Amino acid sequence: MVSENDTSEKSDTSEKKVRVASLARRRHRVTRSLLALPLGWLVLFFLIPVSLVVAYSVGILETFTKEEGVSLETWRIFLTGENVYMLLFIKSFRMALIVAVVVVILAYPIAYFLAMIADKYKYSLLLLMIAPFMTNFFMRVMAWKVLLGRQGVLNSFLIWSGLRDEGNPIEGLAFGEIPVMIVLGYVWIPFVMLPMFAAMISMDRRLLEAAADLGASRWRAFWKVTFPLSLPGVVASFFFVFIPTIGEFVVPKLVGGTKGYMFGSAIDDLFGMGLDWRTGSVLSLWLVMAVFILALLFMRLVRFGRLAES
Amino acid sequence: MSDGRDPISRRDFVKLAGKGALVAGAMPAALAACGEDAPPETVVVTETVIEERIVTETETVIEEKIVEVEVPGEAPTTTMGMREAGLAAENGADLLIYAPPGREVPTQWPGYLGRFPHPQFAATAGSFASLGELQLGAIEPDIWNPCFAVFDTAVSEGLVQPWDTSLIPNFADLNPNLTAATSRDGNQYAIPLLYGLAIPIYRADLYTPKENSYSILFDEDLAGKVTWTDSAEWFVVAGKLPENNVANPLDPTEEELDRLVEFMKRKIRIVPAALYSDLATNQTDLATGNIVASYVAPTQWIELTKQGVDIAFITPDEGFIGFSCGYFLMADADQYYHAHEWVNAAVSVEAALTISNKFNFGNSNLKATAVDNPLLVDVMGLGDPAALDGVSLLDKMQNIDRLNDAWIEVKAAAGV
Amino acid sequence: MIDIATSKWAKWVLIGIFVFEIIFLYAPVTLLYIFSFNEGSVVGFPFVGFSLDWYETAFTNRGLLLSIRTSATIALMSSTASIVVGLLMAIPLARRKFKAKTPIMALVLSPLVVPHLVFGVALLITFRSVDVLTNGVLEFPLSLPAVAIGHVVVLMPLIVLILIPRLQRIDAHLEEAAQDLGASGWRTFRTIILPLIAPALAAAYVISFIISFNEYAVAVFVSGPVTTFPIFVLAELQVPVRVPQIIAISVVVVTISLLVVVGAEVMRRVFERRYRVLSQTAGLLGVADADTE
Repeated sequence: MVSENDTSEKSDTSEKKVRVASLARRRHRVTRSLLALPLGWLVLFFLIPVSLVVAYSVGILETFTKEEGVSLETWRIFLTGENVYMLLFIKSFRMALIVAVVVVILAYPIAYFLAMIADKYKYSLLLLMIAPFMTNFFMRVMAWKVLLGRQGVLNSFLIWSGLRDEGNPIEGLAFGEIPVMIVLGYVWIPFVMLPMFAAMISMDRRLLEAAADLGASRWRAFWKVTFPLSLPGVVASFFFVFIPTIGEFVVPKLVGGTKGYMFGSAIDDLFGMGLDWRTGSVLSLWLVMAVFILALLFMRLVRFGRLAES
Repeated sequence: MSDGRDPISRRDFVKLAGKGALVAGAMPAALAACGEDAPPETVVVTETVIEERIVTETETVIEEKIVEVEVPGEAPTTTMGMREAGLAAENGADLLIYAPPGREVPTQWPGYLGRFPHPQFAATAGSFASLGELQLGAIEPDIWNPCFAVFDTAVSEGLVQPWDTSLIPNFADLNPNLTAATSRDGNQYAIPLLYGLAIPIYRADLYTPKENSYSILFDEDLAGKVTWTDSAEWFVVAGKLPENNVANPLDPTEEELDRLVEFMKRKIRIVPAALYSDLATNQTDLATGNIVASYVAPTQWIELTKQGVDIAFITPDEGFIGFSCGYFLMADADQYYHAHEWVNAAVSVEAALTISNKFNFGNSNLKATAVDNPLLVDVMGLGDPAALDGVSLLDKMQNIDRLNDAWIEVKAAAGV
Repeated sequence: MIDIATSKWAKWVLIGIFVFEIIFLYAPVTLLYIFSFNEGSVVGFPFVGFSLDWYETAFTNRGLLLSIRTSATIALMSSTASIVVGLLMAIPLARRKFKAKTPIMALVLSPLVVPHLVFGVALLITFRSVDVLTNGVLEFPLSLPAVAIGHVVVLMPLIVLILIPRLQRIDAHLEEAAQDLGASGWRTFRTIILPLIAPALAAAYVISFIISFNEYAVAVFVSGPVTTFPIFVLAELQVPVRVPQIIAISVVVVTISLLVVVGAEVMRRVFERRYRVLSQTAGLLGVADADTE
């Protein structure tokens, strides 16, 4: 994500060059001081704590008496697939990918609607979408079960209206992978919409008008103008969902049943129930590393995309 | 690290953590600076940590001595004078009780408020989750109220200290089966408050059981419609089934545990669609028919019946599994005498009746039998000291860590 | 002027999708409204009878009300702090060129991937280390600020993700022109950037508040003896007879937040009126402004 202001291009005279250079120096100073607080915060309250997790994963730190000293054994067991957790990671990766893609697809039209069409109502409507999230999460999930259960609202309605036989309700909506994904989608849609909304709303609509003047159809204008310009927002949205979803543990706990168990659930259990913080730390760090690499790759991709576009 | 893997006290741990924080925080920076691998640094780390250990061990010894002088501990010769002096020396307003919500209502510890300052309460979400928090010092209560599946771990990790039962007059009225399960080596490590039987229940309108056994929870005809609790106690349930042939389900041998793990991996795939971690969600699932058979405390049966859900329960031929919950005195408690006064009030007859009438649990006080609910008296034998004789109390589970790890393994295998 | 953004039918399709998703989002909440009036304690049909008892129980439950106040305080602290910190981070990342940008970006985003629970444990040990390293001279109090500190770390990447696309769309010439005219960096920020990103900032603030208000895993470890609302709720779930009062209070909370939404909207409109004047002025000066509507 490079800002496109290349200041040196515009200077012809040497006097101007000097001024630009001093301006650039000032900017560098400002940049550094701006970054000091957030970076300091992240180092103190994020990097140091995470280093502690590293210490746990190799046994430098221990909490419970049953653990077994400094070694890379736990890492070896995990990486060689001796236990089941690597398979679980692959499965969670797949689920997170599906959820992220589906949610972004579902949220895009909403963002488009709010940003381009809803006009002056857009902020009220936006907040309307976010308001339900002030209800406690656990309560909402409980309500979902009442809605989707075997004898829940949806099935009662279908049976009452004769759309389905009494003995044949829609099953599998209460527990398992599918409900985990539905509920995660439910949780994420409003949040995911925001980066895309933010990207679209700041678009110069005169570009669209220009496209229309040049005889482009609406559809073509969308693909050639709106969509590329909203792409950074789309990518941000994707991360918004994808990243936390791989590590998700609350939703699988509530609606996952045994089939919806995820990588995050295992981490949660190893810390919260198994008191095996060492394996838990290894799993967490693996998650961090995997997503980190993915994020770097993605940023590369996006940058190339933007270069190509200009 | 060094030779023995002897238990470290929490204080030691925090010291260790402190050292670790410094070193571990410095490590990435050092690595980045020289662009090399970790080994040299790691050696340094180890040495520092050992030094730290030696220092802290001495400190701990000194502390323990002081504790012995100040606190009567196991000595039954506590005089009332010492009690008064002890109460006066403490600041009762600092008494912190780590308990499920609801325990802060004064009707659950009648007679304490008015004589002493109002104690403080913090809400715990689960017995095992709290274990880690307490071990790390995330919260430092005087009294902790978990269910006693954690008993073995809490005692062997040195988190808790014995109660002085001579300071708790109501202790004499408590169910001996429950107090025996929470004592070790003659020390009363916990004061039981409530108990329940883990009963198999089913929607009578949707299912007819083939036998009176916990085996309905493994019945393949109910595929996708059974819940199991999300806990290692499931090995106890499976261990109780005659087909699994486990001598003591509360403490299976390694070989027995391996067999149980295989059994569970097989069963968890075909039978349960859901594990539940909280009772409220499970109750919702039973009411909506998401779940047809489950494993619950009697309180769920009562609530669901009140709601008009057609629920029946089974008295298993292999005998009931039971659980109990109550109070631990934390090893670092600084409100020793107030803690005893409070616990005495919390297991009084009036308090016990609230537990049974308001929350539908069995209570530990044998004199508190005047309850509204016949089920508690008839099925759970409230007030009968012998009623829990044949019941497998989860308090007696041993080495639950390995059961927990095995349980996570079973779940992860099912999820893949 | 014809609307280039959509054709008539596409507009209706989009409205349809929007309405559908609103129903999707509100269905569970509506159910909660219904069950808050159910006399029985089980969340599920059949309905036992109408009762207002749960509201009464909820509003006389001191612990419950206290936990809501605690969570609201934490949310206020952490969303305010994280907006400031997130903005300081987002501006250079979006609008400046410097070498370390990619690693810094990766660092900012990485709290997203550390499971909250693990982060909570690690943060707790870090805090506890303070009194060890200073031999007990200093002690980091485990209380509301500790939770807020953790929440800022959790919220920062979300805020940065919201602000960056917005900041990138602000024409760089605008800023340069202002600086060429001698405006200080702060003045440029206040008069040009801030008005343009105000809506995005507001959105980020609301999201931060909600996430912090509902965050459980970090809070449970660093809150010490303080009970936040989610901690309280999860504990109450173990005692099913006490759940309906939480439903009642949740319904009240959502009602209040709907009212807040309306209030915020009114405020925003007032603000927008002022801002529109400003952007028209910019237009007159011939400066490209992406946000002219």
